Amino acid sequence: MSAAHARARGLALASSVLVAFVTLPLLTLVLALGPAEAARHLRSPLAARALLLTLQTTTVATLLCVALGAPLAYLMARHSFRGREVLDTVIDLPITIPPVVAGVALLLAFGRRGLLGRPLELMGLSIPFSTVAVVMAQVFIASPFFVKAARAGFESVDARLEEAARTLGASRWRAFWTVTVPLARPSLVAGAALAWARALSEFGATMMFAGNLPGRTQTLTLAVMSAMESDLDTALAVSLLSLALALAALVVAKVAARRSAVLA
Amino acid sequence: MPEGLEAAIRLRRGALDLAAAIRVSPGETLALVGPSGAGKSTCLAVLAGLLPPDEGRVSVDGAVWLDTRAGLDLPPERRRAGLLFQDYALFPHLTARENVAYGPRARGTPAETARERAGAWLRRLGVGADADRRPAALSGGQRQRVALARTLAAEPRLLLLDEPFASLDVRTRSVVRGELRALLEEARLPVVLVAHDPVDAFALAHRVAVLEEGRVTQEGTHAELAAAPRTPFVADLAGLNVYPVVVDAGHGLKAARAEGLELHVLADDVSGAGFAAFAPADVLLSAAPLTASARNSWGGHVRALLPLPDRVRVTVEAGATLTAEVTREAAATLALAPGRPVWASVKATSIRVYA
Repeated sequence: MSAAHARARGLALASSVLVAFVTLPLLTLVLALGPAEAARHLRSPLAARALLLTLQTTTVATLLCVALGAPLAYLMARHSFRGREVLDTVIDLPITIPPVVAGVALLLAFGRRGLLGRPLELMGLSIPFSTVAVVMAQVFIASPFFVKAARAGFESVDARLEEAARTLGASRWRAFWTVTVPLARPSLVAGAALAWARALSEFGATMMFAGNLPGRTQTLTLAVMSAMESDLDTALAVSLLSLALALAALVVAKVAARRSAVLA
Repeated sequence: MPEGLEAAIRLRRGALDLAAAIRVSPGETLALVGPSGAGKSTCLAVLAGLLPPDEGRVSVDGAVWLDTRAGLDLPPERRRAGLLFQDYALFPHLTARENVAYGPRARGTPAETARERAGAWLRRLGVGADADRRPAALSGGQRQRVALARTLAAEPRLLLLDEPFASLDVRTRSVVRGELRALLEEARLPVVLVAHDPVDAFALAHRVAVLEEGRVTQEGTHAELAAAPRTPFVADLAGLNVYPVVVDAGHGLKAARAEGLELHVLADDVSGAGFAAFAPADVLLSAAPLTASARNSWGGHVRALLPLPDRVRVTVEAGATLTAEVTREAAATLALAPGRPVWASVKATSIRVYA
C-alpha cells in the first residue's frame, strides 16, 4: 500500500467521525416517523398554519433580500470606494451574531419603546409581534447570504461586456438586465436559495422580535418548539418537513453553482 | 459641417497624463501606435464615452458628443461609436446571431428585423453558418468576425478598433487583415485603430499617430514616419537606428554627437540639434577595426542576436545601442554571439541627418 493511499485512508477514518455525527441525528429524524404518519401530523392545524405562514414570510423575505440586496451587491462588485471593506463586514455581521441578539437589536430599533417606535406608532404602525416582524427578522438574518453570492456573481461578469452593450446602444439599465443578470443568474439563484433556507431556519431573532403567535408569527421552527411540549409526533413531522425544505434549497443552490461553473 | 472625427482630450489618471488631439476624415483610418501604457486604449474609451476625460471635445460629422466646457457628455449608448474590443467582449450567453442583433434591438428595431439584419451581417463576414453557435464554440477568427459584425450592425458613425488582431494566430491574422481593409474602405467611416504591431498599423491605416507617454510625438503616413523618425519608438517602428544628435556647424564631413556615440556625417544644411538615422542593413560588422572608406567605425560587443528568415538582426552595444542586419553566412563567419567583441562601421553617406 502506497504512502499516499495510507494517508487517504487515515484521513477518511478521521473524517468519518464528523460525517457520522452529522448524519446520525438527521437519519434518526427521518426514520422517527413513517411517511403516512408524518403526512397525517402535518395536516394538524398547528403544522398547516405554520407551514403556510413560513412559506409566505420566507418568500417575501427572500424577495426583499433580492430586491434590496442586488443593488448593494452590484455597487460593491463594480465600484471601489472608501469603507467598502467596512461595509462588507457590517453586511456580514448578521451571519455571526447570535440571532437572539439580532432580535434584541431589532426590538431596540423598531420596538414600541425603541428608537423608531414612536414615529412608527404615530403612523399607526406597530411592528413587533406581527407577521411583518417575522419578515424583518428573516431579512435581517438572511440578507448577507444573498448579498455575498450576488456580489461574487456580479464580479464574475466582465465589466467590458457591460461596456460593449453600452456602445451598442443599450442603456445602463438594459445592459444590466440583458447582460449582467443573465450571466450572474447562477449565483443570484444560489444566493436566493441560501437566503431562503436561512430565513426558513430563522428562530432566535423571530422569537425575540415577533414572538410565537400561532397563525401570525409562529413559523415552522417556532411550531416545532411549541409542539415539543404537547405533541412530540407533530414536532417530529414539522421537523422532517423543515429538513426536506432545507435540503431542497441546498440542492437548488448546488445545481445553480454547478451551472455557473459550466458556463465559465 | 465638419466631416469625420474631431477630438481633443486631456485626462490625468494615475501615472497617465494624456493630452491628444486627433482628426480623422470619413473613410480614413488613423492608427494609434505606441508603447503600452501610453494611453492608446484610454483614448478609445474616451471617444466611446466609457471614460470621462478631465477636459475635451469630441464631435463626429458635426454632432458634438462631448464638450466639457459646455457640460455635455453623451453616454455611450447615445453616441454612435462602434468599439471592437481587443478580446471581442462577445456576450457568452448569446448566440452569434443574438450578439449581432443586440445593437439593433437596443436601438428599438423589432426582433424579427434585427435577427434578419444580424444574419445578413454574419453571412457577409463569412460566418453565416455559425449564426446559432455561442462564442465559446467559435474559433478566434470566427469570433473576431462575429464581433465585427456586431459592431457594424449597430450602424456606428465612428469605428474604434482596439488591437483587432492581438488575439489571432499569425495565419488568420493576415487573412482577416485583408478582409478588414476591404470592409473599412466600403464602410466610409472614420476609423481609429489601436495597434501594438506596426505591421497591422501600416497595413490598415492611412495615417499613423504615435502616442508616447500621453502625447502624440509624431504623426504622418508610413513613408513620412519611416523617412524621419523623431523618437526611438518611431525609429524602431521604421526599423531604423536613430539618435538625437548635436551637429557641428560647417560643411562637408562633420561630427554629430549623440549620447555615447560620435557620428561622422554629411549634413550641410543641418547644424545644432537634430536626428541622425541609418538603416540596419547599412551597418557593416567586422571582427577588427576596418581600414576602409567608411568614416564611422565603433568598437563594442554583441548584445543579442535575432535570426530572421533571410538574415540575422544583431544588437550591438558600442557606446550607444545600434542594430545591424547581416546575412546568416556573415554571422556564421564572424561567429557572432552575445558578448563577442565586434566593430560596427557605417559610411557617412548612409547616415541621414535632419532637424
